[in-house]
Amino acid sequence: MGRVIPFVACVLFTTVASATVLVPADFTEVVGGSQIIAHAKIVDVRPQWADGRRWIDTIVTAEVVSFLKGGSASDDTISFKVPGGRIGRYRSLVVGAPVFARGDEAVLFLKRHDDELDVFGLSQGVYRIGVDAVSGQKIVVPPPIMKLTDRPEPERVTRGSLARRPLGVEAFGARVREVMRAPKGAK
Amino acid sequence: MTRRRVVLAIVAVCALTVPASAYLKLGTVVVGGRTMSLRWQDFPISYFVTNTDVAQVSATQFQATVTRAFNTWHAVETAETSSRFAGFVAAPPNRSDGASVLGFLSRPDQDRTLAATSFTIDDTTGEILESDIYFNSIFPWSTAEAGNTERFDVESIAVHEIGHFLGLSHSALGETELQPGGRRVIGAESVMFPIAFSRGNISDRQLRADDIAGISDLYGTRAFTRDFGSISGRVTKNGRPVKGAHVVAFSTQSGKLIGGFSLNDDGEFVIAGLQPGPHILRAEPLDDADLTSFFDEDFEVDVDFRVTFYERVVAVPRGGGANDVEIKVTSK
Amino acid sequence: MSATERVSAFLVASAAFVLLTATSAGAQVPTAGSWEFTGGVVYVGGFDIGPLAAELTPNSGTTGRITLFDTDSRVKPSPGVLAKIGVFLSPSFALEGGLRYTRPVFETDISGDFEEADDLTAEQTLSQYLFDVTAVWHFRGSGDARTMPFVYGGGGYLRELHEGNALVEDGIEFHAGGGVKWWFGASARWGFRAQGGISARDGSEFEPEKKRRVIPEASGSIVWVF
Repeated sequence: MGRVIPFVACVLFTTVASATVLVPADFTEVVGGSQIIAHAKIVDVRPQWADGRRWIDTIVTAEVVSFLKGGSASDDTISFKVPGGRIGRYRSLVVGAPVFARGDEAVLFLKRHDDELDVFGLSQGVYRIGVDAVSGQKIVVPPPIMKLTDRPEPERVTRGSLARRPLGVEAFGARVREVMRAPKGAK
Repeated sequence: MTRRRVVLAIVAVCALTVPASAYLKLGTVVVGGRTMSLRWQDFPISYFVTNTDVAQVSATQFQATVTRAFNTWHAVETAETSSRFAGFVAAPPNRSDGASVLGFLSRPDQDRTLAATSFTIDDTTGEILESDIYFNSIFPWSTAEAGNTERFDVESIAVHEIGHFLGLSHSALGETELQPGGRRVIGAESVMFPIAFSRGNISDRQLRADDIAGISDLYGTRAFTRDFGSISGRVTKNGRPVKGAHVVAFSTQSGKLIGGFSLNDDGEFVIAGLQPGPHILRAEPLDDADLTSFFDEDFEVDVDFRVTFYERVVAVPRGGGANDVEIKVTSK
Repeated sequence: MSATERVSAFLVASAAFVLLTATSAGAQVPTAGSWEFTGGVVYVGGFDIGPLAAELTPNSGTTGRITLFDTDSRVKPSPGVLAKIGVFLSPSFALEGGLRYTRPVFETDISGDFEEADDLTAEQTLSQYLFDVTAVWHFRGSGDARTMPFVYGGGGYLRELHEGNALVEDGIEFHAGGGVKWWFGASARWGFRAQGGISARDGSEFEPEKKRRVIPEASGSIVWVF
């Protein structure tokens, strides 16, 4: 029997989990509630003091690969704000806020508030693009959470469901368009 | 107001090849690339409360409630934490002003966020300079002893956010369903589950085994180290490591559930804070989660596998660890 | 066949063997001061621990319990080996010390998973050591002196190691029962011993309620008197 000292802290991550959320949106609401949906690559991350140097926000600029909703053909880039960031030696870390770095690639669901764009639901509007270890193809994670049937009663979200696999980028985009085309009130 | 600096404990870092713990702990990468846990060193932690009322909750009621919520964590016998209410302030709770402040704040731009915790950290040392918690005043709140079916329970949400304040991240011990209006929690077995229970529900005023294991892992007493144990191992798929799997340990004696995650490129996990005795292990993908809820931007999660039980019953020793577990999962 | 049925069948078979192979009387049976060594095999019954569900606290508006998965556990019967050394303090009364080793399997049936994971039976093998002291009263009377029924009672220290020696538990055990010794040949130095009874033990770490368990046991051994 080996003895492992289990209580040393190997810590984790620069950002962590979400804040408490009210009711997380399903994918239909994320699509419907976003003014801009874009497949984009992060090209600039710029923290700034806000409200008279009282807290730190970060302005994220992303180069648009394609717009799925909103935007215009003349827009090469989009900029949005996320809470938290690092200036000098000080880091403001908001539990649950997404953190971006140059080179990140994601499908972004952005909501307009006043004159600024924010990520839908603090972090619910970030679907990161990674590479599948087996196929080597680009996939979007996590898979969209939406009802699999048209029945009105609540539908259990089952982890490991065969019906919910990470989608390739094109397939994810097609799913977004499909949701946008669905009649209002449809699943 | 005297600025009280709290010093971050420099926790012994195991060579970063063995991932930490159950549930999740908050951490940060400091200058030089070291990763450190967010953890208070000096106690009691002083906190202030914003002197702002909202409908049906006065600042005084709010302060009494968050004090109770702090005390819920401090009452954990296998962990040593304490706090001190230092007074009311006019400042809202989201400012980097050197003071840890809790209070209400109107955030209509965060219309799906009930409350949030933030930290200001000295990135050269990893020191926590302050931590603030705001409760979004666009939502209806209640401090009623039995709860209010039309309003969110301040104490339940406070217990969750103070878990973050003390250094805990999220737990994935919960199940949800899709309904008109979004997703709803069906049930959860950790206060640190990221999705709140419904309005009026007061269940999250009480910590569960997973929460207790987490806070004890961060601030454990000697008795905790002596009397509890851990399980460590790997999650693999076709011989390759699986990163980001949620692994749950179930005690066949007490029925308690404590969760952990495979957190490194080797698919390794450690679940600590387990009572001695036999345990069942279960691995599942986080394919229903807002992954930013759990992991940072660099963490590539594998969600393409089926929920799987480990075929052996694992005996957890007292004051030690059961090692070399390999949970083999299969693709969907 | 249940453990009890197995024990009963064993006892019946042993008695039949003794009766069918008994030879003439007149053998020299152990006397006061005789030492006796016993070595053989043992079969210890198992017991049910019962069901225990992994449950989540339900949200308001959720009807019924939320079960992540169900379990049902038990300790299975197991064979083992034993050795004893005893001394006759009188022609009828002997005191013996013994060691018994068994490897019962603790198993848990897992079913009803919320996410429909495949049902599974998970198990681990325990190692049990019993160090005991037993008083044995032999019935000597008319009839074939080479056949000696007896009753026994005693207690011991039970040490249980979970798989990989990860967890060690110990407790007190009590046992009682009866049996028969049948001596080979006229010298009564060698014989066969069959016995059956019950063993009561303390609860264990794998049980939701640590209650005392009473389980059947039976053994068959070779006996050597010197």
